[in-house]
Amino acid sequence: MTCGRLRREWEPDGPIPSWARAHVAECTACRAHVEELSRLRRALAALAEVPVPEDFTHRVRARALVARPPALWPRALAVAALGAIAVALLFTLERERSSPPEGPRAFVASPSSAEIAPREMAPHATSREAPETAALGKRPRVAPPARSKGDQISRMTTPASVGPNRTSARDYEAVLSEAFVSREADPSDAPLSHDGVILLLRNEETQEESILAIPPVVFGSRLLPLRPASPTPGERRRIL
Amino acid sequence: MSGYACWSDHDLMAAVREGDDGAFDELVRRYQSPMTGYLYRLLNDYETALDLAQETFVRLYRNAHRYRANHNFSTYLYKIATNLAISELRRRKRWNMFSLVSFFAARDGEGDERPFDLPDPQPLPDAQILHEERRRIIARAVASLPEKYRVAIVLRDIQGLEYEQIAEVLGLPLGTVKSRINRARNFLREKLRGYLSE
Repeated sequence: MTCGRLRREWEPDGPIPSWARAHVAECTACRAHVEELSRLRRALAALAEVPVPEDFTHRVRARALVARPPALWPRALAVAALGAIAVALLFTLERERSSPPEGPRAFVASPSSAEIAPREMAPHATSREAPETAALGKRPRVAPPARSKGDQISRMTTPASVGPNRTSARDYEAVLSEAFVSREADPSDAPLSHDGVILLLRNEETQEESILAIPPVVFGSRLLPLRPASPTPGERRRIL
Repeated sequence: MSGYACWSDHDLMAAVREGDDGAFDELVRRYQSPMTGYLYRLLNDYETALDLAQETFVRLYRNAHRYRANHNFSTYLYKIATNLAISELRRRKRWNMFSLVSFFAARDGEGDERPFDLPDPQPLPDAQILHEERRRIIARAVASLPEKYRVAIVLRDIQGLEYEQIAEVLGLPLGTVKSRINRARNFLREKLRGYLSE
């Protein structure tokens, strides 16, 4: 069919092929098609002209000159950043390895000298009890020791057993022994046994005492190596 | 400067590779208008078109060492410009962006040709007014084409590239290119029927 072939093969900007000339002269639809597409082509070609600012070349030159160095910069920066990270990592690891293992530090104050006396940098196992024991003026409920390490631990703590409302050595034992028991139960728990603080809180009016166990959630707290289950006499003295 | 006028594009690129900035300026002068026009018809935003046209030349400059004279230089340049334009169109689609200039121009009834209208104190003759109006309508019809048809017909009927070049620029088979151009023409013919009668 000549109409279909003409529409498929004829290019609007080219001459009408010889095989189609007679047909176009006779066929009104094909003639209209050819004329419309020719006009469209001319109209589209007229859109090609777009003004360009006079300083276009200068702007391109300026951008090109600025853009040239960054081809090297990202790589150099990446290498430098990686180097800095590697050095910082090595330095940190080296420092960790060379620092001597420390036992937990103790902040000891006489029970009678302060309203709030930090007693011990204790392991983490008491952290669950913190909400229960945090209330001032209320005698804390402390879980009984899971194992009979009380003898060792009671010597590490300062008993405050004067008066009916005073916190007994057994209370300290309970809190601390649970922590120590949990350490001893599974030495591989080392990453979980963080430092914490146990505070003895005493209400001066009612003379009631509470134990406040602060879990080690403070930003920047530092992991310390496990303390041996049985402290040396020197260590006991330091803690007390 | 004028000594470069008789140099071929490939020779100029070889000189650019050697660090000849004068040769680069000559290439920019040769292709600044086609590139800006091409990008303007694709993006329908004059400022972005200018920016991307400059970026096209910057990329050409930065990658001059990678240029190989196996192909037509203009094909290479159009390929860079097309990639930039397609990225810009996709970015706009993602963020649903539009040109404030075009938006306000359209509201004022000025159409998207407004950036090119230089103030002329003389009243325009009727024929010129009609010509400008028709040009504006045709440009708007081109801008309304779907992206894949628009790119193809702008390269062919506005920029005047050969089918083979277009296929290379777009990375498409020749048949696909011809088909897209045909469909775009038929779409425009239907849409502009009343304006193409004279």
